[in-house]
Amino acid sequence: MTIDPDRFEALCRAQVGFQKPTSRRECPSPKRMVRLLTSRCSAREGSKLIDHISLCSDCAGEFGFLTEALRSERILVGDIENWLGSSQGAESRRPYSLRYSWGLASLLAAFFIVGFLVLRLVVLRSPERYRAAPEARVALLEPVEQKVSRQSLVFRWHPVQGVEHYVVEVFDETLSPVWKSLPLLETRIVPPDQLARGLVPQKSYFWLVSAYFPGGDKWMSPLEEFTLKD
Amino acid sequence: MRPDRSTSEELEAILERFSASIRASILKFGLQEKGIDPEDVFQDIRLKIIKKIFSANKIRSPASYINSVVHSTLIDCLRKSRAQEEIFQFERLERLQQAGSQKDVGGVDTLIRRAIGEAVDSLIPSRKKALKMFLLNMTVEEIARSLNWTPIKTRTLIYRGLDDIKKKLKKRGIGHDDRS
Repeated sequence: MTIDPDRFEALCRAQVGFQKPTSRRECPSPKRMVRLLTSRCSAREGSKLIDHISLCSDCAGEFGFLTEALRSERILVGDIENWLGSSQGAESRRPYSLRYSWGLASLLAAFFIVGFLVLRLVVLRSPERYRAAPEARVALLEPVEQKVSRQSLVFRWHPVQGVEHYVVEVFDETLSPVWKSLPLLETRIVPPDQLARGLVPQKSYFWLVSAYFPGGDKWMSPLEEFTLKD
Repeated sequence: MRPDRSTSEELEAILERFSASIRASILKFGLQEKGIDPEDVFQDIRLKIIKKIFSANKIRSPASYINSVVHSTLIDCLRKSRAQEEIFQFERLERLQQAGSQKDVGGVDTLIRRAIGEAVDSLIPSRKKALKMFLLNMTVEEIARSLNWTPIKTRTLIYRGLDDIKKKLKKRGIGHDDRS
């Protein structure tokens, strides 16, 4: 048996929509058909839809109608865009870059603000924040990175205006507290014998001074290192 | 700037062309018999588009606005038509029974048609998908756009699908005369 091309095509097309469903409950919704036609469904969903539509006569009719309607819609969109372009004057004919310049400017401004905040918070953060940084306004005089003898060990620092009292703290090399003075009014202190005897020669120690103000404010010096000779 | 009288007449002419093609599609697919009135469909779209274009708010993206109006109107009208069909389910079943009794009269064509159906179903998924959409009267460009393929790939899949069907029919003793 031989069939000619016309009959072959007619029979192929007759294959489409051959089944007449008894109910439309299983049919895909018109919305899903529109999604398929506007390439807004997954490949898997698309295959399922096409399998159903190509068999169901009612769906094939609706799909055919939607296909043609969307074809007409594309022409309508083109016509209306051309018409708007010719009737709405210079406003609508402004170049793309000008039309969107405000939007672009806002976007750039937002980028700069966010960038500045990140820079401020992350990059420009003081490395000395742990013990001192912004409040480090008490300058230490001695011992500062020095080797001193046990007998001559004296802590001295610059006076600060308006201070109520000072407190001196000493730490070992792991920054564990070793000693803390009582509140002091002077800007020097000879450590008690008990502390001086307890310090191990050739080991690093650190000290700092906290200045307390009547309003409750507190300034701290940076940490300074010292070592005992003997 | 608002369109003046002459330009609004141009808009009416554009919409009228669209109306004519929608009307023709509804009649072609027999949807009027299923309760879809072409005038209802068109008037809804026409009013929404005109109202938007002549409103104080400038229309920023005409394409997306027209798409959403047209799509929602088409979806609504098909939904209403289906709902109406369900009401007359009994009549529908009767019609189907009558049609069923008249089926399978032309024996040879029925056999070939079934053979074609089986051949189409045995194609690899991409060829089957492309061919079925082509048989649903979609153009190569429309199929390509819908499936996010290139037109060349789509065309190749359709041709190869048709070739496969011809080969499968030949195996079943149904030859194809390519002289035309």
